[in-house]
Amino acid sequence: MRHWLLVGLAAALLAIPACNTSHTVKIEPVEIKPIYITLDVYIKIEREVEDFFSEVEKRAAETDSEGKSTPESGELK
Amino acid sequence: MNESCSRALLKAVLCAAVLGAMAAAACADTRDEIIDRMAKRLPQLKKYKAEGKIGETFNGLVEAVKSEYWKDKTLRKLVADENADRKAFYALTAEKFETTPEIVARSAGIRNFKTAEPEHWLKLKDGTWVRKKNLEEVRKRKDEKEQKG
Repeated sequence: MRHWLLVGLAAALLAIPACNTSHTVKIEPVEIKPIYITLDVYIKIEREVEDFFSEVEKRAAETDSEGKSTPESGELK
Repeated sequence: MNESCSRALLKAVLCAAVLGAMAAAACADTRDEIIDRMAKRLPQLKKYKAEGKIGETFNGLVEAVKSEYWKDKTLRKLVADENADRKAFYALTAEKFETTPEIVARSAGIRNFKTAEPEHWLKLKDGTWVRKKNLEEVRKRKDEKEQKG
């Protein structure tokens, strides 16, 4: 009887480490900076594109108004 | 001997400086030159757009709306010249912001879709041509189809 008690106790002692669970939660480093940089670049590109096409339209309008204001050769005679 | 060497060196330095200045000047006015050419082309481009023969694409270029319009030689040249200048600008801007010309082109596509007239034709990513005034309706229908599917 005592022998069995000792065996049981030994088994219980061996089982203790198995009950010990440990969880390691790995947290990836949160990189916010590059997102801001990317957004900033996109905004800058958007602005550059807008400026470019606006400039094209502006210059075309200027050329058009210059052409209209210039009297035709026929009118001068 | 020493004097001739120093003269040659001075000449080489001067030549390099002149060439460098010329290259810098050439680069500096590239954007301006593109704008100038595109501005001169704009009235004709607007005319073709109003006629429904040329439309804007999602990737910032222009194209003939129907294949039969490609027969028009003037239209062909106009589209080729316009796209060449636009691509040059996209490449320049991409270099400036250390990105790809495709990203700049997509940004231009969005901008040109927004500023298009209601009657103008727009080419979507899936290749379909839609009039600006029908764009929202077409998008809604597509979204509904996707939700059902």
